[in-house]
Amino acid sequence: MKDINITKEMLKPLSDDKKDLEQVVFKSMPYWHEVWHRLIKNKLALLGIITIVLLFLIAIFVPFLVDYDYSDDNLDRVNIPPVMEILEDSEGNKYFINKDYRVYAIENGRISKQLQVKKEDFMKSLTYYGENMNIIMDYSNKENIKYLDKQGNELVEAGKIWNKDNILGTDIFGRDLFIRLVYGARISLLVAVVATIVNLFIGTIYGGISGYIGGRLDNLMMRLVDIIHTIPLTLYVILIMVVVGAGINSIIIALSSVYWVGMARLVRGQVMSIKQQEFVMAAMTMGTRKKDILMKHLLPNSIGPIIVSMTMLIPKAIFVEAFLSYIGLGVPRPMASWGTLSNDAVQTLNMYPYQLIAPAIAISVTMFAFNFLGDGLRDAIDPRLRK
Amino acid sequence: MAKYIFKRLISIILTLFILATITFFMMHSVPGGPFDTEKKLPPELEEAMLEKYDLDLPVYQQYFNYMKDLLKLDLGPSFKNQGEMVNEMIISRFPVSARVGIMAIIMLIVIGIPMGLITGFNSGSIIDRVVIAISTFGIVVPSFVLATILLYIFSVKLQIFPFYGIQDSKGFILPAISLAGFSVAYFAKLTRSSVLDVMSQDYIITADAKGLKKSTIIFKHVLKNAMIPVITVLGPAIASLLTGTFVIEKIFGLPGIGKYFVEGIANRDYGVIMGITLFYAVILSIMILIVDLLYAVIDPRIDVKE
Repeated sequence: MKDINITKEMLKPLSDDKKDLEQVVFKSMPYWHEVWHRLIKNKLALLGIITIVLLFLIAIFVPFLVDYDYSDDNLDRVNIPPVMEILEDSEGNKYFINKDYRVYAIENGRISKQLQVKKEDFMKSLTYYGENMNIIMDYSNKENIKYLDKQGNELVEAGKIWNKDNILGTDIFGRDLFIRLVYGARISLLVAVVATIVNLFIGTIYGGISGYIGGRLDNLMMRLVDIIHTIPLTLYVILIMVVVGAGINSIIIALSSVYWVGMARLVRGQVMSIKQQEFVMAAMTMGTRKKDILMKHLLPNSIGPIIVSMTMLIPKAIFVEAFLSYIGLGVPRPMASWGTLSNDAVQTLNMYPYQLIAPAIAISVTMFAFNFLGDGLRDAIDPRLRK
Repeated sequence: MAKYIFKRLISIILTLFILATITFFMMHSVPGGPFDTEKKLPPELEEAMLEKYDLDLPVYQQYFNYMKDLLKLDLGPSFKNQGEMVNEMIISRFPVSARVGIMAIIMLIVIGIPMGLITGFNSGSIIDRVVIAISTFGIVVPSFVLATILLYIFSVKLQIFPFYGIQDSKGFILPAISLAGFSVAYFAKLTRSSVLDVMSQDYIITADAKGLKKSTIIFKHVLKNAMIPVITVLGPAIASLLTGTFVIEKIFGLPGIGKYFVEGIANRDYGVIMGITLFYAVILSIMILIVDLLYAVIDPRIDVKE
């Protein structure tokens, strides 16, 4: 411990303007202000918020900035990967040869054209013709396929270049994967947000009424919830889709009509514990109408857990949408959602794995972001729950 | 105890009855039927088919017939796959799903829960952080993404496991891992937070203060109390792992019950839909009953007769 030299100066009484030094003053903050402060102090939650905002911005604005869209196909550029391995001939011309044995000429780091095949002696070799740049694919030896230029020299590897025209590559119809991913984000986020808001309304009101009124009605309403819970989700969703027809609308209706069950249970539990508290009793004594007690006292006081479970519902909805699209019940083609993109990519996984990587990362990053935000909100709203 | 179990069984049967009724009418109220195919059947043939399966009767009549058969545990025929009985289909397909499911459950119990315990007792350590990072990953990555990544690495690149189907028992390994991924991660996290919660309780501090050995505290006090929330979720989780998931079965080409169910719904195969919905519900109800009975074993304060 440090020695402190106590001088006479220090023992003098304080002047009047310094007398409030001992008072501990905190700026008093409104509740949500405080929650927000605690939330952005949590680094992971902040990262989640930034990611979510970015995702929404990209999904909303990028389609306006790009002059092609998700359905523009280009059959001359199918299955081009984002990173191309380049070959060079003895004259310095560069080529990219895809896994489907299509040959493209590269100029200035971009694909300039596809070289056409002329069928000639195709028992042993194929010749690709461009203007003054012919390439011969010699497969007389099956194990070792050679590419030769005009002079008969073998092409040499000349490094890798980024695909500047399609930064995430193209799919089996030559559609740009980046823009499809962005449109997919629109669909996935739209479905998630709408379904979550609908769930919030139905679940809160159903659970609120059930918990507040209690007794027989509560029992009846909760048994109904139990039964809805036992019916397999897939059955539900598929039957609704049969009635409404496949598409975004039916996914939203299906999700909204199933997932409020969890929200209803949560709100009921909250309301049941809050309605025992004194302030509710006071409101009842003063003759407040039942509707007002529910809407003005009980529900606003259970908002914390409701918001937390809402942020958890969003990734769940994105997941279910991806899952439904994945099993072929999602948005109609040529529209793309992250689920349909993954599903399409699985078909060609063997040859073009890059097509799966982008949607898989998009889904995972979104799930991460919402999970972090949800965890952060839970801790910020109720610090006792921090684990 | 016996009386309690009896009462519970009665209420399970009642729930199943209501579930069967709701599903039956919901299913029949949806337009389309098992014989509405893309190619229209000749009207005489369609009529004959409808008559053969009693689908020309009024719906309530069909309902009573179905319920009568159900009392004899007969789930009726499949409308789409001629000559097959739903009972036989479940018996032949359930083992495939169950085998994958049991492997996933073993992983969950051998890896997930112990990981949660280890990290719970050593919170803040390096192992703790690594496990949290991995389990967060396991929770957010969808099972079909995990499945395709595994398939690409182990079947396409390394060629250790078969790409499709179950010619040998090796074919079950990747599906089981993909299926277990989420649950293992989820249970690691759940167990960890449950352990931390119990460790901060007053009675643990008391036990520590009066000088009990650490092992005694862990085994006598912490484990038992920390397992209660875990077991609550474990019951339904085991039920859903056992009954198989459509995505995993589709990706890996397993002839399991999940795939059969989704195909059944898509084809409006009434027999299959009813049969498997009830089958799922039976397994789920039994698991929940077992969980409730386990409570009484773990924590005598919980009175099951309530």
